[in-house]
Amino acid sequence: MDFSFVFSEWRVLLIGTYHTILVSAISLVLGFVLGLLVCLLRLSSHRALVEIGRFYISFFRGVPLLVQLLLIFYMLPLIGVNISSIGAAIVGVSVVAAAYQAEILRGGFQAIPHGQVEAARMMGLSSRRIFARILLPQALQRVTPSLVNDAILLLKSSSLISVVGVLDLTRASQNIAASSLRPMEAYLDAAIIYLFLTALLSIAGRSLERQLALAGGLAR
Amino acid sequence: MNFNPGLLLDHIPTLAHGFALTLLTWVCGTIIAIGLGFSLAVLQTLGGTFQQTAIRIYNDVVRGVPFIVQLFLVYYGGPHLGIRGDAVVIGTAMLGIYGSPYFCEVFRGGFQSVPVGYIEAGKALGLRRTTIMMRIILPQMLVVALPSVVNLTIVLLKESTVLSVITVPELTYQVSGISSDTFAFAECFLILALVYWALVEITMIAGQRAERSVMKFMQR
Amino acid sequence: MNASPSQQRSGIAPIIDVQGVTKRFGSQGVLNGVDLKIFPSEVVCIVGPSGSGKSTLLRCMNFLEEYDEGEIYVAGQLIGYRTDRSGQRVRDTEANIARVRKPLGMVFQQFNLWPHMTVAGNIMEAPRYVQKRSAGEARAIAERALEQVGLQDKIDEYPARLSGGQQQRVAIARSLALAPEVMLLDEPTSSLDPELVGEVLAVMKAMALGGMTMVVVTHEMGFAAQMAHRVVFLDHGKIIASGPPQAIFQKPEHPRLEQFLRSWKERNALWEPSS
Repeated sequence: MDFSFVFSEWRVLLIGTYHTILVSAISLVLGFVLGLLVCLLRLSSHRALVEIGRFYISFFRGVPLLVQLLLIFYMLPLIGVNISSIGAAIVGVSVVAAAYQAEILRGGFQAIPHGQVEAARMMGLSSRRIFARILLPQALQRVTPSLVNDAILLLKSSSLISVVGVLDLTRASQNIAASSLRPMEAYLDAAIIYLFLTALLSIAGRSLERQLALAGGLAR
Repeated sequence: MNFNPGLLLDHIPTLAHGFALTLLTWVCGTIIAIGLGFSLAVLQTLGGTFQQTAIRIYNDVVRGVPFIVQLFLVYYGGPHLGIRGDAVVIGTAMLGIYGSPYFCEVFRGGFQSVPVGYIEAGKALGLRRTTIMMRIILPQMLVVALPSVVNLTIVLLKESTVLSVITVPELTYQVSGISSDTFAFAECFLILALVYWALVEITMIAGQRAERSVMKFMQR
Repeated sequence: MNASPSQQRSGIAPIIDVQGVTKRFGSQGVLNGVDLKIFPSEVVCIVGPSGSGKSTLLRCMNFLEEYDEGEIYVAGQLIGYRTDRSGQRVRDTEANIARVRKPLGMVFQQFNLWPHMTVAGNIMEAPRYVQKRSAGEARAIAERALEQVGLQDKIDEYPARLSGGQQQRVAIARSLALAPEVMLLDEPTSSLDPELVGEVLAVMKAMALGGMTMVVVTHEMGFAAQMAHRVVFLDHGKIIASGPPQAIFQKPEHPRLEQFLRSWKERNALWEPSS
């Protein structure tokens, strides 16, 4: 095996890594916001909204990401939305991430003893305040490990955007493999970079967990 | 917009072939993943520091690299190391390998969840180690692990779509082919999405039923 | 028969007025036509076997539970319901319910402190955001409330680091900080280890001696005997007996009440009574 060529191809790898991180980061944020919204739908008191939430979660967790990406990539132009491959990729990954995050958040909210909400109501706190000050902080604290885990999964799943033409890390390594005729080295590079990124996320996640744990214990 | 799902009726043989292959790779891959994962879990629980560290590294690496990159590595890079094989065989094996760390974690957690008291009772009654393992630990562990096993099985179903990228002629591969022949992209991928969604829902319902019947044995 | 004699004579209005309240759960009757008046500065203890509807009655008073028939008035205002245009009784808006609830404070069996906030945070939350006070004012209120329950030094601790008895006292302080007119206590000591019950009862006694109106659902007959102006015995959703502690405990007239007291004595007697 000969890795020397890697140094001449470092630019392609860098661009690929950049796109992977970019798409992952944007999709993570968008996915979280959307996921919170879907979670609220799922937990609302209107049956119609609950059903919409459940359908969303069921559909976007039930259809494989690759199929979602292909679907979005080809369907959006049909309904008149002209979007770049990166745009379609971000939409696809975010929309799926939201479904998983909604379920994770739901677990977090439902684990909070209802008595705390009753106590808050007794003291006259409004529903909005109860959500913002009592429910959301505890839910986030409780599900942080799961959210970090989900972030790692999201980073890995972003590798599929290569299939719809985005020059991410996977696509970059494919290009290098084709042009250098050294697939082993090319894919190993990509694997190592992905490993590095996921390891970083794991470490960040654990320190985040520790910081949140210090901020206060949770209800048993 | 011209939407004509009936187009797909002409391609039923191809679709059936693809569907069969999806099921084949999924089921075989899952069996391999469960078998491998279980063995790793046993080794980790009973083994010394070396086995535990080695397995932990294996788990972290396999879970840290996206599936598509692992596929490329083995399928395109493998021949340089003498690993040659049919796409279906490699794909199924890799699916099994990809799933094994997750099953390992689930089974290990299952082992640890068996209350020490049960094992002590077994020892106090004079049961042999293997008997304790088979009759006390294993059944308990399987009950705890079942929901996660069902979840992972569904995850592997969705990952099987990625096999299409290394030309395994499963459902996604076939439908992609049909869509580029007929240019009926939207119809094809929408139906593809619905088929996977249905498969996932069916598996979930079957899983819930299995969980319920297993719960009957367990008092919690 | 329902009021302590002095108040009945002087004609003071009850601060909580429960009239003919019925609550059904499916076909089961949880409360069956309950009438109860609570007067200012009264301490009323509600006792009875499990499932008699004691907690439900209390929780209906502050509308944490709906009731199907009857009316409950808090400081003269109907709680939980209003009449709509067609004359039908409908559930009132959350804002109105919160408004009618204002004079009431509640202490729960499970304390229900918010674990991600310190003691100070827990107590200051409502004064700051419901009463719109400044942080400084709210902190001062919190300190005073904690003094009343004897936990000033725990003001910046997290609830998880406090014992059960301390947590419940903080919960009491949290309610007191809003200066309620009535304190509703739902089995406040039932979740506590026996050694910790005393410190909470001490706080409750101090509150009662200070003139607080209290409605307490409890199994602590000792507290009821010492501090209650009135003891109300509830069984299967009906008030079977009501009166001063001596009348209820020493001369029980109703067979169900007698049975209830006898089994309590058997569980709690340390030795056989002489005679």
